[in-house]
Amino acid sequence: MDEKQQAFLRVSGISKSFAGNKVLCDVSFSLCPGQYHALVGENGAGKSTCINLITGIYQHDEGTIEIGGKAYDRLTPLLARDLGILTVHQELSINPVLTVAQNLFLGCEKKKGFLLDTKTMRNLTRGLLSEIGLSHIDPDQDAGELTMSERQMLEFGKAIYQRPRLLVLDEATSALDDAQVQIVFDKLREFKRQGMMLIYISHRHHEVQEICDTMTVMKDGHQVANCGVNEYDEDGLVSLMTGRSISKQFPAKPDCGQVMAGPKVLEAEHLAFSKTHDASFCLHQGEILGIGGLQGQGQQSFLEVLFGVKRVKGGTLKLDGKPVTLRGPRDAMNLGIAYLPAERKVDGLFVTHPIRFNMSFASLDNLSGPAGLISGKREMDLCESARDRFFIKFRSFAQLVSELSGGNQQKIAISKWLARNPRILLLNEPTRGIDVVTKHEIYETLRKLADQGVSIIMISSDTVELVNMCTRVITVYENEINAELTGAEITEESLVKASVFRKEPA
Amino acid sequence: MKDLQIKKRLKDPAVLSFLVLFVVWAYTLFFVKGFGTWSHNATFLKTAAYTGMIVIGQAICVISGGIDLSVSNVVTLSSVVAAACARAGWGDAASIAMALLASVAVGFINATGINFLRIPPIIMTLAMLSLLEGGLLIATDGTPPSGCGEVIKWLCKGKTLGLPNAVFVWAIFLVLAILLLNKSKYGRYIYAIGTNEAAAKLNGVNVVGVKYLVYCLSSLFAGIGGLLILGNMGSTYLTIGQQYQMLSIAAVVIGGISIIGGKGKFAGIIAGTMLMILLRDILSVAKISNAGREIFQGVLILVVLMAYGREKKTT
Amino acid sequence: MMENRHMAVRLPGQTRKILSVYITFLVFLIATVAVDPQIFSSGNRLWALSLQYAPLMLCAMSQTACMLVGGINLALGTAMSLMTTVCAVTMGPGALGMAQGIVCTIGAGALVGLIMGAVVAYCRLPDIIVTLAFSYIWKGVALIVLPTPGGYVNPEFSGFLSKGGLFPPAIAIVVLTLVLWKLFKTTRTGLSIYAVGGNPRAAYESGLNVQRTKLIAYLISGIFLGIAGLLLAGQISSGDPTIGTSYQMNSVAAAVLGGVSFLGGVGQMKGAVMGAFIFTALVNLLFFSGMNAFWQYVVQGLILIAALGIKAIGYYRKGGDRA
Repeated sequence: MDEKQQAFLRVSGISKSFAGNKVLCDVSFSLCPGQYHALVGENGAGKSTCINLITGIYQHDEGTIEIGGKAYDRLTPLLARDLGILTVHQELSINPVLTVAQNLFLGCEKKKGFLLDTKTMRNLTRGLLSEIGLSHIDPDQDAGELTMSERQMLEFGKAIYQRPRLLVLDEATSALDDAQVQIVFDKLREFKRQGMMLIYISHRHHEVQEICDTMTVMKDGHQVANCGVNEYDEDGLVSLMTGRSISKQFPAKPDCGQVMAGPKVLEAEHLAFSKTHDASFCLHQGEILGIGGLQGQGQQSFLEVLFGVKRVKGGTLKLDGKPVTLRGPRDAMNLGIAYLPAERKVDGLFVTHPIRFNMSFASLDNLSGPAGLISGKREMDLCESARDRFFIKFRSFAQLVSELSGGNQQKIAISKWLARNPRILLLNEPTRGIDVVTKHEIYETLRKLADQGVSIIMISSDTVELVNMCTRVITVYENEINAELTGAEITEESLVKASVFRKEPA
Repeated sequence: MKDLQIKKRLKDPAVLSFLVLFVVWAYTLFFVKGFGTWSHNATFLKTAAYTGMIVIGQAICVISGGIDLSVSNVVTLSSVVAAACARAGWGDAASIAMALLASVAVGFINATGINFLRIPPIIMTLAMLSLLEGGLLIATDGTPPSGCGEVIKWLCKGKTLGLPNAVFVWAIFLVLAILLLNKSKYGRYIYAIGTNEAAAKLNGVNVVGVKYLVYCLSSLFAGIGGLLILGNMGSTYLTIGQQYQMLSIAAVVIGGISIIGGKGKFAGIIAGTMLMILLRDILSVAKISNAGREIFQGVLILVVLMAYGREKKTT
Repeated sequence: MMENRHMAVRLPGQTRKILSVYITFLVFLIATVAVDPQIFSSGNRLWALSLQYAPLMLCAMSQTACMLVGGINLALGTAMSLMTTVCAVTMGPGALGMAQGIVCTIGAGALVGLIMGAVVAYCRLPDIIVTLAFSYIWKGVALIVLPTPGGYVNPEFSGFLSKGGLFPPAIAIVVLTLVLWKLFKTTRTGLSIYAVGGNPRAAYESGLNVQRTKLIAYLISGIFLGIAGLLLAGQISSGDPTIGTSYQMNSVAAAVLGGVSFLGGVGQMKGAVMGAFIFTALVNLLFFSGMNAFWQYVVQGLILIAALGIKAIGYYRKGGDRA
């Protein structure tokens, strides 16, 4: 083999156990210069562990990791960095109190003698920003002022600026919209020609197919396939990842006209809140209404205002035709509204507390007497029925939520609200970062609820999800409603169009 | 499986602190001169009881993710108000009521600052400490009135079944507090706020109300503690409460309650309180100077924190 | 939007962030001079006044160093007492004795900071409780070093501070410390203090040594405190194991008045110095009319509450209702 084709990274038979629990077992693959490789699998399949071994955050128990032809037994994050391996995580590591330029050069500042060379760094930053489509941002701006997707782009820019040999993108595109993903991909293609390597993790399979050459499919810590990205179609891949086949990911949609004929449970008339000045929309009984649009256009405020988190500044909000005022989440809950926040670990769950604590938390009023004392038996009944209804897998109710996989955590977060039998369910990115099987289960549950007459509003950045779940979708652009699509109008194309182009003022 | 459970239990700081307490107590009973008698232990329990009242309030604060640095001056305030009322010829019930009312008012102001002025608890209660310091000096001109109602004395020093009444007062309030924290929805809310305030809000918890409850309770318990201390001493002075700030925080930490909030078994504070008092007694028997005792307290807290494991800050 | 940005560029970003502090500072400076016009005319009035203001300024800087890395120093008050006792015990007569006292006090400050920083950083314990525990330790140590107020502070030293030089030495020391900090801030370690305070995890992932940075911040805090202790000892011409108590809360109040945030990463040393000036000037103006000294505690507590309460008003104005 010619020297250029020598593998830079060769992982052979690596395994890793935590507390006697084997989370990664006998995984092997290799990367040659210019090769882009994807790790595919459900949540908890071992992708992140695999990455953490390669980047030195954990040490492997068995097998070998060879980098540049040399085997490393005890890799550390610093060593991996020195070898040219850089990681961009989904969790943002941008520092809000530093300026954009300071963030970019954090840890590798340019110096002039003892002191920092701020001028050079500022100029270099300006160049880089325009390369990644952020030319409207000033290098001296505080990074805290950027939107989430801008920060994610900055993160990516910071990584490629350092010209890594091997770049690891761990769900790094999940906060980006399609246009930004294309900028990232263009950059990646450019660096591919220069021999950079990529390990890519994403739940969006079309992205994997677009940018990667090869992939390792993982299931329960094992490697089930190592092949080209086009070897399997989506269905084949799902059955490979889950061990069973899911012919249809989404449940059947009901007739749109029938749903729209139902009574309106919720009406917003010229509602002003947060940065939104005038929003009018309604929700029918048993309807699933989607809220789409590019990332960070203020969609979240739409749900927050309905849950009493954001104050109403103007206009009226009507429930069953009667105007209501929500002074806080408690008011909304008493009216039968439930809200699932996007960041389940931060806003939704108390992950350091037991499952039981979390499952019953929203229903404590119903479980306790006048003195506020909780009936242990009624609490257990509630928890057990929630578990059975939702097939949540865990050892005991005393287990901490933090020990569960993301999918099971999300199920607990949803079941907590379902225990209150809400009439209106507000969901913010209900399936973000969740494996295919759990996604399917959540879709089934939502559809069933809607059929039973529960009205649902869901924000999603996944267009496919909106197309297949919703009878109506509104898109938001710069905090205002941009378009409303009904029934057959909802297609991936029309959604993208309604998200990207601002509607003409009437 | 069973082995594993026992091991897990032993790792629980609350359990650990009870074990240490029994070992140290047993040691003092047999090896420290004068510690083996009934009367000494009755006194020890009495001291633990009135200190323990203050610890209950502090523990509730700490679990909710806050801290109450003002307890020391609330102790003083409560005893001074009770003494002043007694001096003015008010009945015992009225004196007690006034003292506790004044205490709860302090908690109410603390909670108002924390809730609406968005001041971090540590700073708000620090400022309150100063406000009370000045207020008490101004009101008493440096020397508080002497006097103490008979009922207050009886509550602390009177004996039932051979034990000081303060012990029973402590026991009753401990049971109530444990019910509140472990068995009621308010307890869940307090733990939830201590774990993640934003999430608690999104789960419909009335955070403002719960914080009012927490800080009013903290001051109330400190006030009750102040009354018992007054009953024990028979009269009050302006630095009567000073030592209880550190003592209460130390007892909470030693009892295994996480100082960053949201975690820890409430019952652990019983062991924490008794251990602190026991160690203090040992130090005073060993004729350690005042300075030495201050240093010891500080070092003890640090050692205990390290022993219970590093705390992860959840951001 | 664009115009806004242009406006902003004209004022340096650092100044823009604490513009309100500058304005308040100027108002109080003018007010102080207005009620006491003798400042510039009569002999050593300026010297005495600056010596009265300077210890809190350095204490505020010391507190700020801790707050920048997301901590808080609750041991500052008792450590301040300790500094004065160290100074009063180690200082001897003559120039050599003076130098000995200065070196020992600043060294003691550095040591105090280093020890607390090491525990905070390497034992990974929360700052609040660590410094609270240390406040008792330093209190004990101060009582051991000097059980009762007194000791020896070289009269030449206090004389120089209160009369010497063409310009009040206390102000010169504060300015010099500020300049040194400014230089330090433009080094990599200086920047990393802000980075660690803003987002420790991100700083770690960028390859910064978070623990070492915290240690350095506490070390600097300790050094500032040592200088503050020297000035205070010079002002009272003795050491006192309990004198520092009020500096605890007042240093926090001064830092907050100067725009330093509890959340870490936000704040400037010059802001803290101005905050300290505002604080002392406010107290002085209130007591100018001869209020009962007991009221000091009340007033200082109220200033702290007000300083933070003002921030809350700004928060509500922005329409914030959720943290």
